[in-house]
Amino acid sequence: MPEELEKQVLELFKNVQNSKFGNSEWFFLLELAQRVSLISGFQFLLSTEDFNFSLFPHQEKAVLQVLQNMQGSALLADEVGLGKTIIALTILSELKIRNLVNSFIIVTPSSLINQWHNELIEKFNLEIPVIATGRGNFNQSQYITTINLATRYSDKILSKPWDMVIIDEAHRVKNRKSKGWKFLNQLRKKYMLLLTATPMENYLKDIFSLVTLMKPIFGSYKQFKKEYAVPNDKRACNNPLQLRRELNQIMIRRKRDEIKGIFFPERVANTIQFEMDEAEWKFYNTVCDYICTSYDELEKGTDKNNIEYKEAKSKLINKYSIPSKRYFNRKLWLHKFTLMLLQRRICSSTVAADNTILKMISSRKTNKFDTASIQILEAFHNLAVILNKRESSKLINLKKILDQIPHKCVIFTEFRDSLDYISDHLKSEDYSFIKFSGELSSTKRAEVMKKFWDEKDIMLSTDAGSEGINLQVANTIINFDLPWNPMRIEQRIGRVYRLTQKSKKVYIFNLTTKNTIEQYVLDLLYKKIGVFRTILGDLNHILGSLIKSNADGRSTKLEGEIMKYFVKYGHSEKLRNELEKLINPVVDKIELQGEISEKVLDVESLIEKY
Amino acid sequence: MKRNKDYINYNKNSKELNIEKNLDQFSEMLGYKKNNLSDLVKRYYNYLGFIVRETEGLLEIYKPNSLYPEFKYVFDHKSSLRYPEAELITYNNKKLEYFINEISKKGRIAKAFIPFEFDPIHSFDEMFNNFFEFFKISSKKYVINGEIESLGYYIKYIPFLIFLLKVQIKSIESIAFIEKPIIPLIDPDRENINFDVNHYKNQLIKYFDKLNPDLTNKMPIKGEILEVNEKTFANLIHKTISDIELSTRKQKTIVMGRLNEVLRKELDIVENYYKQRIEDIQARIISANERNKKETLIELKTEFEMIKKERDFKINEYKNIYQINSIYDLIGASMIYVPAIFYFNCKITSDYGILEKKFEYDIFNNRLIPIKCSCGKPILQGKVCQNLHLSRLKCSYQCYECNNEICDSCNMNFCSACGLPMCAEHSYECENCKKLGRINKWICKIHLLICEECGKNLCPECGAYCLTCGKEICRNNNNCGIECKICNRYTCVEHSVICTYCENTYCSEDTFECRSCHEIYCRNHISIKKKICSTCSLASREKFYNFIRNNKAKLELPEFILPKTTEIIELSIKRKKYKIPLNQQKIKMGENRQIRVFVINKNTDKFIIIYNKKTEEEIMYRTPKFLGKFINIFKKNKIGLKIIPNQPIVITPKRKYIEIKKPTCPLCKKSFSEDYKICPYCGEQLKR
Repeated sequence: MPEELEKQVLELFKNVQNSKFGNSEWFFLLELAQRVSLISGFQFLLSTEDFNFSLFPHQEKAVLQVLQNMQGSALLADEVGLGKTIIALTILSELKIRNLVNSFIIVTPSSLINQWHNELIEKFNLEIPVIATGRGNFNQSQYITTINLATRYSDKILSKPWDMVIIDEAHRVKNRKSKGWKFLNQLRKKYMLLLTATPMENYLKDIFSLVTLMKPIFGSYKQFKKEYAVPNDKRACNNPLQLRRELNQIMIRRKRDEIKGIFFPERVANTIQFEMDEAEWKFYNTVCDYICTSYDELEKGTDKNNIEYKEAKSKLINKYSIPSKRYFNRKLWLHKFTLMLLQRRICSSTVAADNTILKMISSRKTNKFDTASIQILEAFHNLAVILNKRESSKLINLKKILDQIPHKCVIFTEFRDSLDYISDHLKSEDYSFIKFSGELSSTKRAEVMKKFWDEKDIMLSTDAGSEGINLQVANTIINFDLPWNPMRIEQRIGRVYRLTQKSKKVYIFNLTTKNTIEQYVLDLLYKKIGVFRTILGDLNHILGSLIKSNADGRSTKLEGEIMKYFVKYGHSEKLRNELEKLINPVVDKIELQGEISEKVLDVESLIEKY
Repeated sequence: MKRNKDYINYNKNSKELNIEKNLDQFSEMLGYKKNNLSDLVKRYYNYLGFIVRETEGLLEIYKPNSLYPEFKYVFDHKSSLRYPEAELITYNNKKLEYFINEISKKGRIAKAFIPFEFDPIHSFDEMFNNFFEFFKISSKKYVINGEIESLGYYIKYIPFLIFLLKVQIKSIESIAFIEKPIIPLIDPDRENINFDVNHYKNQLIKYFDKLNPDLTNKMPIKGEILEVNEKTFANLIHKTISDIELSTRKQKTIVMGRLNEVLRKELDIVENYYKQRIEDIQARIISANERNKKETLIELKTEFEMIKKERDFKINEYKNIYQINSIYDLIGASMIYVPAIFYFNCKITSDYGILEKKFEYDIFNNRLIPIKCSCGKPILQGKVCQNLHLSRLKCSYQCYECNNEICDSCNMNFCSACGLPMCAEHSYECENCKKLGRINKWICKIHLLICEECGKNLCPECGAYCLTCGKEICRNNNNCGIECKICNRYTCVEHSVICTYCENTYCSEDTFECRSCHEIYCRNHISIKKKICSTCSLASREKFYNFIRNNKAKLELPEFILPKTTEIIELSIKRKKYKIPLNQQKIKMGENRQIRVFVINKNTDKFIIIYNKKTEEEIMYRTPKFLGKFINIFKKNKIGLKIIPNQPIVITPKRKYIEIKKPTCPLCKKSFSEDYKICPYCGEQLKR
């Protein structure tokens, strides 16, 4: 190298010799420029100025701890809500700024891939490509992908070394025999960050697997078992204090109540239950009956265990005039989905339901199938038209709430039609509100946001507003309708329930009609799971088999299951029991997490309290 | 309770980061960096001809004659919130990258002069006064015993190459720094220039320490530009780069030391993990072998191989992560011309003649540099000597004889006796000192002694006056002067006396005539009181010898004879009083009259007293004469007698010998020591 450098200097010297007098001011400016760009060590964070937010002290501390003491590799196991993603991305930015990271890969669950992408753009000004399908370019030096894709195309990823690897919700790869774990173990990486709020999900060996993936500090599993495991109890730890001491070398875990200076607002949930008037009730019941009978019919055609499966299937082919058996399942699923949607819409508002009914009528008329139900649907439509002319009982209750709230609030609804319906009525009564929906362009979105922050008191939003925007200026959420998936409700609350929320309490109002499916869902899913009480973290994973993960985080399986039981048992106590049975494993899982935290992971803080 | 204890210990051991302290410590540094960032942008647009306005963290860039800003920049998050329309520039910003790229294009190569404010048209007197303002302020005036007149100036520009080198030591963490070596492109030997290149190099390093040093593209004063010596450069660049490499290696060693420790720990963990796994699988293989389970055995063996591979893979991975690379990036180079050879020729007219001198001009401090004296110090007040040397006041003297100015550069000397300065003409050399190779061999006319016997020039150390006749004689030549063995004074050969007993030569003062045998004896061999020589008093001495030999004497000495060691007496020497113990007595020694204190052993003292008693003589050990006698009796030296001299209390000034004129008889012309009224030789009446 010195010889090469000598040559370079000599060459440059000749150039200088032959040049004219001048440029000295630029030369010394160049020196200043180079000195400014010089960064050594990790004594302080430089990338934070680039962010569109400020780090909290506990986040800054974690970043410095990972960079200074853990050589840039750590298991970030802070409790949910403390900003693990922010910490990980700050570490990445700091290493990038120091030219220590050029290639990196972020592996996330498919449901969170967009959230990561948005977070990187909005907060860190980094536009990182997303590979969500197998057709993506795996030869890039920086991208976000899912663990499933990464394991499937592991050859492409393993072919080169990576400067940094970030694994979000790392508890999903806790099994050492799984492909995911093996793949991550084979990765050539300089820095590695594993993010999870539950480093020990079920058993003690979970934590061993994750830690070994980072650095095998415990030795072999046999030795780990000998030292920490309790015979005949896979969850208990023999010496949790020693375990924590060892883990502190590579793990950062803080509980929310441990962090000083950080205030998490209290979640106060209020369910406003009201009764529909007769006309509404009649409309709801008739539509529900129609949905139940149609859905049951469709179920019979798909259930192969059914004795009358073949008959039912041929009946359905005729009824819905399905041209080929090849499309049978897909078509059937579409009809089921439409009915499910109608059920959810009718829970939201008659306007929303009416639009679906109209679409159903028109599709039946144009495609000429199921002509028998056109008349019924038209009858529904007529009823709906009458109902739409007046204010629904839900809207009346909504207004009551709005009149009593002194703070800014956000009203969420799943459907655009409901949004328009509410906005029309609020407009006529001169409420100070603003509308936010997925149709808005990014510049318009920013305008709307600014208006809400500066002027308006109410924001009407579809679920498009439940992702990626900050509404902590408000402290109240009104769920005009309830999504059947707790993930989506968590996202809604998340807009307001933030670290930067100045109010001590966050109020959540749920509008539900008595004796409707919405009430059951609210009672069983939300009350049991506790979405309204606290943040639950990787809900998608907690819900486990109930969730069929899609890239957008929407799930159809849970809705399908609920629908199945609803069709089977209608509005009855049995429906409640069955749904309870369905949700029991999830509840157990959440309870287990608390128990593990208390007995193993956070035993240290408990002793401190004691 | 036990658990609680554990917890306390654990907390003590845990390495908590003191982030707040760290942040405080480095916030200043961060602030400094941010200022530099804004300075960079400001200067960039200024150089491009834009007008830059700065208000509370916002930088507005205007085109000339434009009312509206072309660009708006902020440099921190707070300001960006205050001015959302402005662009935020930070360390991880593409805009900063753009600036650096643009500046790199423009500033990779540069050539310039170092500017200095100086007008050579001004008269030298005025400039002289201006530049030496400093001395006036400090109440020292630039004074020379002559008139100074300028003869014009002389200037040569020397090229220095500066290059920017970015060094990055990269591993799991990175250290980056900029090296800015300065290389003089001149060969001092070839150009025959007498100036210190390194001095200018150091001045330049200081000058370029600031991030925006003043430079100009025009030659400040007309002068000669020295050509670049490529050969010298090629040699120097090699050395410079090896120096940089050495410093990088040092940094690398520091980083390596730290990282190797971490790596060793990490590798221990990994190796331990795989060792355990391998041991496990080996145990399983053995048990499968014993049970003859072939299928399991094959599976286990493949797993064993896999683990081995995985271990090697992991170890290599860790080694790669902690590998240290140094990256050198040559950013740019600049040639700066420095008027390193720049002086004024001056004429100094003094009483002794005309002298030409060079006053160097220091462009870095904008002042003249005082001329240096031969001692190396600057001359702030000076004198021109008779040999036309200019030296400091402290380094210039006047000859005691001719009163001419002399200086260290001239062949001047100092008298070894009185220290007076003297010019070469008026200084004399002691021939004896010269022979012995002494440095201080020069003597002034006053202290010069010329031996009347051999005619040599002598200094007072090497020459002496005869005690009897006052003749100038050599000390070290026995043919010229003889030293008395008792009082160490010198006499000429004529006036020395030989002792009949010991046949040594003494001065006339230390020799006496025995009243019994009428022979002349030295003090040692004659009893002065009785005037009896040692031979004549042999009988009494024999008894004493017997006493010593047989050791039969049992004398009970009265207490008062033995000196009390604890008692302290006051001893006054030349008006000064010294406190010494009684058993340490003062004894006058030698010609130089060094007053020494002897510690006399008690036993020796006892013998002296015994001897005294037996010989019936008074105690005389207080005098050197007695000691000499004592030594002769016991045939021992002073050390043998355990008489250990202490350091001299005081050295009295040298004795001035006054010639004693002995009375002589005018008739028989014989001299005698006592003042007789009648001549003892011829009976002539001398006094009435």
